[in-house]
Amino acid sequence: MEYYISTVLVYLAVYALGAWALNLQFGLGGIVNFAFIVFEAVGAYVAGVMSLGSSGASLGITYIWGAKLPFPLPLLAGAVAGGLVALVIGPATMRKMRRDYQAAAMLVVAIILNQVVTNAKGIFNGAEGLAGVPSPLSQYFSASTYPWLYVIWGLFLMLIVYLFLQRLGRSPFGRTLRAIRDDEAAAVALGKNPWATRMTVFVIGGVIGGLAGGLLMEYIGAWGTSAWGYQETFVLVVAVVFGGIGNQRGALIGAALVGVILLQLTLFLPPVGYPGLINSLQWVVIGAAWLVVLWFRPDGILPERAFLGLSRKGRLDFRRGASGSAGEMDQRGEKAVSVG
Amino acid sequence: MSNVQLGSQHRATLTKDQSGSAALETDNVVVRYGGQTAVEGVTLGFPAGSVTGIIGPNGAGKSSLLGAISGMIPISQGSIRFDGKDVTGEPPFRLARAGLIKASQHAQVFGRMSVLDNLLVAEPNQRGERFAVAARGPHLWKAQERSAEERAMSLLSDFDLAHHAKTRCSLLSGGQQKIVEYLRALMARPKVLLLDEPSVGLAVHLVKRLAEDLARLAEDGCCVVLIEHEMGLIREASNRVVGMVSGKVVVDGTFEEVEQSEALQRAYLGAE
Repeated sequence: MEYYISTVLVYLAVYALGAWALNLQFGLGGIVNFAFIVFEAVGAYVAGVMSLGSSGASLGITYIWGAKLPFPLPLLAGAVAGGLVALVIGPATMRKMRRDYQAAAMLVVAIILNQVVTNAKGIFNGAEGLAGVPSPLSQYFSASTYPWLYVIWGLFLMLIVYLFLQRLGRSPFGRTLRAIRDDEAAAVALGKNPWATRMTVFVIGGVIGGLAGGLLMEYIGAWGTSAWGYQETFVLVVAVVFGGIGNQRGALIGAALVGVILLQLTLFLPPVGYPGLINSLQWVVIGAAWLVVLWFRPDGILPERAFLGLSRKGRLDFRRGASGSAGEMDQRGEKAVSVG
Repeated sequence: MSNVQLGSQHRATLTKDQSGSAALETDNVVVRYGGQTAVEGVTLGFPAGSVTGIIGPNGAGKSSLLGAISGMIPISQGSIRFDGKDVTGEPPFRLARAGLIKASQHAQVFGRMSVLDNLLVAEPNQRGERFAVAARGPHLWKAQERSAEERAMSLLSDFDLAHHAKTRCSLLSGGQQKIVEYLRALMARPKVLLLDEPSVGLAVHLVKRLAEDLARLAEDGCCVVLIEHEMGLIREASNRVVGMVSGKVVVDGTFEEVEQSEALQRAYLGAE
């Protein structure tokens, strides 16, 4: 049971990192990235081959780029690989296309890459994928202690990424990103470069996605093409929409609710019907949750705040002085407006 | 033509003959959409410190001309000079960074952002807008941000919108959104300000305030070009009026001169 709980917590960290990265791209940047799972996959594969050594022949698996790097280099290599893949996918899917076409192009890219890796066995051992990837530093700790240390490592990475994204989102860079998302033409008329700004967050999201994939790979030690089907991206999309598009805390709640609780609950259902029915029901639950949120609470559990300034006391005082009525603000930082 | 009575103390008397070196010039600009010609060989100079009103019936090519000047609409022929440089074909964001700012006909606000953030986003040369600076922390951009905030609040106060600073912009009325868009354009510190029907949806007292504001901008050296159907605003704010019909300039002079233009009257009234 302890191992199960620690594993769920590691998955929470992985889903949270993924949801935050997707929230940066989709929630703040307006990039409908249906290929996000590719970043996690690349991060997982690269972290794996950088831990397995130069040859996996003894394990009966074939792959490229084998090395045996010390902790935490495989994880960092996975993160860098995620960013590099974003650098390639970004121009191909975002440069010349409208946003709705971008979404379709991303989806197609995710499907193509999965098929390529599945069928070109020499890259990452085809559909079977990598296995036997050693967990970093596990030889120094007991089997009962290690999972909890890994949970702490995962939570530490979560904290770093959360603080980094909060800093970015509340900066003028984040504001420009939101402006481009809300009205690209108006942002261009003010001197903003949508392509460069979007590409920046696409790559940052790729790095964080790669980090998430590497974190999971180094814990579970195996990764195959069935782990990153295009539908896996939709778990994260639903998590972001559920929690609140454009809100990092909302994305965390969404990751916990959708990525962990909804998916795990189905495991506790009694076996019914034919074998595999319960697993299939996971996707029905995810899809239904998406529809319910869009219907009843399209802004999510924690909607994006209209004002994303630093909100330090001095700044609030300044606004109180300037507006004279900051006390009227509601929790979303808004006031009742007399429209007219 | 409607005629809102406005104070005339700000009205300047600059005419095209008195203009100095042009901040903005169009030379034989042609805009075509497929086989349709929207702007046909327009050559105009817009000096710094002037307010030029462009009038004409719907379909005259006014908005297409402003779109072409701002780089939003590609021109088929001719050239555009801004600040002494040929900027034909430059991407619109580069022109905006150089100080050529356009506010659109329909209020294009950043709806999910606060009114204050709408203005702050326009502040030029923000250090914190660069990823490397933003990632390193607010201590590198906070001072500049504070100064931009003070300026934004001051602009909002001028149009009685300071109390809406933290309001989500999409919750404002259409007229308020037009004002936010105008103030946002001012935040960008324009050398040339292109306004497409800025008075749409504004109350009469706000139109008057806008006219005064435009005159003040011109006094500060800004080159203002506005398209407008509200003749009261044109009369009070502009020191030069250009009349366009069917993509061509048919008259260029003071408001009184343009008012007498038979070509323009024919276009508006359809009289032979």
